Amino acid sequence: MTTMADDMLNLEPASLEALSRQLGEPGWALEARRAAQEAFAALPFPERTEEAWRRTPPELFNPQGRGIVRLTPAFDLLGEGEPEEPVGLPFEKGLARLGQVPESLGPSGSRLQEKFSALNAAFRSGGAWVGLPRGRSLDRPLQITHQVPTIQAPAAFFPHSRIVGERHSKATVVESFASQGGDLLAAPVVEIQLEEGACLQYVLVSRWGEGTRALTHLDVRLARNSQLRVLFLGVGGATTKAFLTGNLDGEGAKSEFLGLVFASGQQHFDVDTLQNHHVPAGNSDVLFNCALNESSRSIFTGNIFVAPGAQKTDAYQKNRNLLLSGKAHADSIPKLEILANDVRCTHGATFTTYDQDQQFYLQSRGLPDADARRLIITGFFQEVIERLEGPVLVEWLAGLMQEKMETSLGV
Amino acid sequence: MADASTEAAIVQQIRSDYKYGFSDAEDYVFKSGKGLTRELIMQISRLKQEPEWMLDIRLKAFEVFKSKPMPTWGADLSGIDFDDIHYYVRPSEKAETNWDDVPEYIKNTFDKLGIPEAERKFLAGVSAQYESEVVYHSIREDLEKLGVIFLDMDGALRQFPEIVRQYFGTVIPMSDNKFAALNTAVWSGGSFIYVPEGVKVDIPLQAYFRINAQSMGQFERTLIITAPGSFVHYIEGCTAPVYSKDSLHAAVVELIALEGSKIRYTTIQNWSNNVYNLVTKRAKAFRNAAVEWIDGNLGSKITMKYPAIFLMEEGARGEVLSIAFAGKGQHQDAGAKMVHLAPHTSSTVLSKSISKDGGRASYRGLVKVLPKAENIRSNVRCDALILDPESRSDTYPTMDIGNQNVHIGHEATVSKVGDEQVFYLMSRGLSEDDAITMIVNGFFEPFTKELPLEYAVELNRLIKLEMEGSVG
Repeated sequence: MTTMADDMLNLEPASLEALSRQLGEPGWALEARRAAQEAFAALPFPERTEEAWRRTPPELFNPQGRGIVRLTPAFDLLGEGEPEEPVGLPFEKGLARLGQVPESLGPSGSRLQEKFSALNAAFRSGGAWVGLPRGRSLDRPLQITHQVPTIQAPAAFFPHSRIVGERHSKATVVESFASQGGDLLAAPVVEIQLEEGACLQYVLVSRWGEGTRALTHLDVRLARNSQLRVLFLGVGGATTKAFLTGNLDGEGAKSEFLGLVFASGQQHFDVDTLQNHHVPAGNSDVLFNCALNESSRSIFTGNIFVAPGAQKTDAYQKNRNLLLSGKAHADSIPKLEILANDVRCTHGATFTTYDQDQQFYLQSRGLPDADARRLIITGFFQEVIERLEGPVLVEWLAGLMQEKMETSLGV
Repeated sequence: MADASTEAAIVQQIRSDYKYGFSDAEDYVFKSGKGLTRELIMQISRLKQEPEWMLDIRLKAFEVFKSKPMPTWGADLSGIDFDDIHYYVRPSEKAETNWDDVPEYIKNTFDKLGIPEAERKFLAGVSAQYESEVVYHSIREDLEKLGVIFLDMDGALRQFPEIVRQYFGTVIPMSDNKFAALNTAVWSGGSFIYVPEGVKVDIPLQAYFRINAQSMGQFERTLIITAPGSFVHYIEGCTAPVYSKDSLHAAVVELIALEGSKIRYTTIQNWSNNVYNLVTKRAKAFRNAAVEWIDGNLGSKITMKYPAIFLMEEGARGEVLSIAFAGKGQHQDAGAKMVHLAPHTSSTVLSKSISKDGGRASYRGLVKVLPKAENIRSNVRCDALILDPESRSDTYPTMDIGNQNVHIGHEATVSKVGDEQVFYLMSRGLSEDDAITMIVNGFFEPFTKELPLEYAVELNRLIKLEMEGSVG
């Protein structure tokens, strides 16, 4: 399931060829990598003075001097049932089948406009390719797992996943990124494209190991009347910086971005969400809950952008922060940039600790202090988890949060 | 020269819409050339016969000003040319305390603005600043007997140098930002208020700021100190004539509310639409003290102003209540900053904005809680109305929370005037124009009801004026 190059490659143009050869790619794929490498070299490295990087130093993600991890993802289905025909492939296989690079990875594509996305496009070393055929509805959630084994020397991992929901398809995809020990820089890029009327639930589970710094890009394009529900679940990794972007390109599109972060120890999560309303009658809804234990830190930056003419936009954004320790630190920057008038855009942010009334009530019913706290945190997560459809998925996610809670709180 | 005629037409147009757009002929005791030099700063200081230490501060600040970059965030400030500004204009020799002694043309100006009348009716003291200097000053005798000091800043520096020296620049250091440094280097005029222990000044003190000359920079400096257990309400109003060249207003306002005292500071900013209004306002509230900024932004081309309250000790309370009206060609980038440095402190921000005719209103705010500050309550609410498809509204709040025992909430909404509300009012016989104006007045009401009646009436009238013709 997992393979790794015996000889670690480094970030030099010459490595592109070796990487492309190892993955058995055609010549045009290598050309696209070269173009991306040039774009990467030409783009300036982000500065700490830039708004997006003020609270997480970009130097942490400097890829120089690292070997490259090559990895093939595992595909299976969540829950019980008949085996189905798999709809997922390793990225390079999907690419070969398509016969050309997708537009976003092309010479003037959006991925080549940003430093780390261009890096990923050049040194892509894994990832999944999911095509949901027209009108097809998947009964069980598809699970994609990227599991990086223990590494000895400093390494970098650049998975690129692409999910295309064709017209009126319906599916749930759960993509987990995980690593064992070692000094790893992971910079995954996930691109989701929904055609008219497509409907997708997508869960990104970030369970990186303790030595991992993760820089994640999730970019979604929604065509007319398509619906998307994303859950970003952050539990692992030392430092995480994530950019989650929803582009409402077609009228009547609905984008729901959910987030759950449970940070402990010295963990640092810095998540940027952006809802781009380009056209009228879009609906976006963001709910991001962060629970912080010990000396952890979280930063939530959310923006709702409504372009001129995007009338009848309905956008909501909420960030809740639960501070579980005196040393935890949370930032919230929920922004609105509204250039149309016939809209309803609202946002809210709250910061609290354990609700003493709730805790008192639970204790009065005979629950020990630790159990009462655990119940309150569970409730805080449940608010988000319950937004998802499918009992198997909800149960699986609740189990994941429980696991993190046990290691973090020792209860 | 084809441009000149259109420019003149535009100026004419703005003039006809703006009630305070008239200007006086210039007849000044001193008017500096354009641009800022070390020599000019020394000259200002010499003309004011200032102590040596103030000149030192000015010159140091000038160096800081030169070394600081222009802010790259917020509004577009590229139109400011620091070499095309008159930094110091002295209209008369001294601040008069008798209205009759004020030069005739200035008196006429303030008469037109209704200042002396307002003073007679409901104010405890008035200060009127014209260009760089305060030209008229008065305070009710009973307050003076209680030890209340209400002076122009230059007068305070002459009469109470030790108090000024103790507090000057302690709330806003010169290195805070480029415009605070500029103000520190060339400041002139502004108000100085000291309210002694236990004294409650129950009716407001007022200052009125007027820019008359073209390409003028006004840099007033205000310092208010309330001793333990005292209270003061200070109101300021601002206007300027309309010229084709832009003026710059870069004030620094420092408030110090000592234990158990309260300061309420009300601003109704109605600069003409060719003034860059870049003001640094900050307060320190000590044990059980309260500071309230009531901040109305109607005028100016660009305003960047974020009244701040540093909650220094336990029990301190801060409140910002602000409205912004961004019309054609205006960018109101206003907000509030609450910094909780001590436990058991609380803050509230209520911001309301309207954008119209392509105007842009932005809320930019900060709530910061330091790790040692426990049991904090803070609530921020921003509401915005956008009246037409060309206009824009932004919200940029930052919350930086370093303590767990907090209750912090932030809410914001952006919407248009509700169709149902307009329909209901029209069904009761109101015209569409009147219905929308009534809704806008209602939207601003939490602000207007905090103003003294005369101001509330004036503000409602201004809003009505701004709203005229808003329905095609």
